[in-house]
Amino acid sequence: MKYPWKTLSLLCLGLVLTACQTTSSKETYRSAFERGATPGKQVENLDKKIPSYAIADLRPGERPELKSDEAGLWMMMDRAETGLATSGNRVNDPQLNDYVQKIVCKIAREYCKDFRVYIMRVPNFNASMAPNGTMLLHTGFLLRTKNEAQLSALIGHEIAHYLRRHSSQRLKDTIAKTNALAFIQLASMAAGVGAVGDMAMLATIGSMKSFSRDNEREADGYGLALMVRAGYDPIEAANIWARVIRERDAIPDNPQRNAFLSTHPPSDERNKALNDLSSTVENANELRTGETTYQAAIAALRGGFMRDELAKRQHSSTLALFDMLLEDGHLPGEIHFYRGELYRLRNDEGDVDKALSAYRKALAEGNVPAELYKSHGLTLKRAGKKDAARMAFSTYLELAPHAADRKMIQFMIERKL
Amino acid sequence: MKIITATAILCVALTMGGCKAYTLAPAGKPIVVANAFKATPIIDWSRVQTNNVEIWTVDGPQLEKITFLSGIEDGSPLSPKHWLASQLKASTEGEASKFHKDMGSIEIAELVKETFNRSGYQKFTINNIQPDRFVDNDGVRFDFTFLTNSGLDKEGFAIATVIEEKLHIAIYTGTKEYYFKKYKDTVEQTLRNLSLKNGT
Repeated sequence: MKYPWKTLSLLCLGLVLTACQTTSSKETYRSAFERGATPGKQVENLDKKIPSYAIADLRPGERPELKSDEAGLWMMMDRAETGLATSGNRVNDPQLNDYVQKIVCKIAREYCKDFRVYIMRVPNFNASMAPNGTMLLHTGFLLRTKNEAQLSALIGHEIAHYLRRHSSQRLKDTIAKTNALAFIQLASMAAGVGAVGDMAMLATIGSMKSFSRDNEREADGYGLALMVRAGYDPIEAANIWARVIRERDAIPDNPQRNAFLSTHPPSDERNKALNDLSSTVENANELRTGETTYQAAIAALRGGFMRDELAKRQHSSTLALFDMLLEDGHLPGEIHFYRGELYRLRNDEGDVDKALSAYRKALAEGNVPAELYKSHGLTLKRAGKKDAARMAFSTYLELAPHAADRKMIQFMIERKL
Repeated sequence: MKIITATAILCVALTMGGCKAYTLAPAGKPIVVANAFKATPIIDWSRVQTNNVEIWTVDGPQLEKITFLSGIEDGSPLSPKHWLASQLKASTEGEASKFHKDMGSIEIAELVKETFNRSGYQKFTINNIQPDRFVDNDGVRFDFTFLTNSGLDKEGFAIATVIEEKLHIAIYTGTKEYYFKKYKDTVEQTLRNLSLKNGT
């Protein structure tokens, strides 16, 4: 009698696993892009097509009905948003906030007022969109972004999540799948084959993660269409992922992420898919990257972002990031300075020489913060070069007469270190 | 029924046993602090100790507290889990900064700053670093401000010294609004009179 139940349970499991199968990943990117854009056509023609891919009943400024599941999500996020507004790590710089909000409006057009951007001082490559239009943007992303087109690709991706109501879709998917799982688990326990219930749970988790990955692919494809409509070169969306891959590959023994349980597709897949789609836009090379504008917008804050990056103490990936920033060629003196700071703070064998070399390069490039002279002095002191250290400290005090550590530096000079 | 009650009491006792209890540090009575310092409180404090870390507070550690860290050895971090409530949902990646015996005053201030930053505190700004005396030795003092993750303004100062290649440090923090100022003078006076248990 046991065998028929086992067969039935395995059949149920098979059905659950079948539900995991989605359309091919490449097709998800392409479909989302093409429903928003028309490959091979002029960019101007995208205008009429794109809004149609927002979910059918979504209107600008719309909130879900109070009785709906989604309304609960919105209320939770509304509460969380009040905390974000006063959060200690929010970047309040008005120029940067205005700049990012303008790009959001350029991408979102008639939905512009649905979004509030919160730039958070977190040194990770990340951004997110809540169902109520709260968009979080980490400064780690801004540091890694080369130009406005790359930023617009990220914003397009997040807006695509909102317009396709992915949070709501995931909620419904989770409810449906966990209900089915509960049934299978009960049935398998009743049949005395509890292991089948456990396998079904694993299959359900995998299925939910797979759904999440498909949402991400759709947001990538649709986001690409949105950024092209706003006049940005789509190849930059792929280039972001090339940068991420380069940083990732710099980490020795970096464990591979579990593809089955991951909520996002692999970076290599996203890089290739976005690259392929970009090549279908005929006049892409005439579109802009906005590199100068972008670099000007973050210039005053970038040093702070690099300082935050150092606090992660993930030296290999940070050095790879600094290499990329140096290749970009914006304010190289500042980058050499923070590379020197990495070596000084890491303080491994040979780091004193590496730090001194980096500071020298920074000084040769110019356009460096006064703080460099202090760090240079501290490192020269550690290297036993006391006279040179005192000179560096003196220069620091000349350039930063009101520095918070003036008294201490003065004391060190007078005491001959 | 008696068995259930006894089991419940045992469970509660075991749970409570896992908590470190605050005890009274009465005014005027000399005590040993963090296994290393001698102090005579000017007012009544509540104190709790974990290894070489001791915390004193009156109104609660979220409002104001003195943290004493004694004998931090070369290559050791400041062990923030014993004294600095993390503001992070997940632990910070990468290895924590450590004290090195060749660190100067400015680098010690940087170490404290990074320790706060890694625990999720925001906008940690050092306002003043100057030479000072601590437990009868040359050392450094610095004032600072920072924010909790929820945006609460806090203020503090630290006094530190390195003796026989070990770092000793006292950090006073409190809310910028009311509590920091409330005990600042008392704390300053207490720390001025602090000495090493075994002398130097």
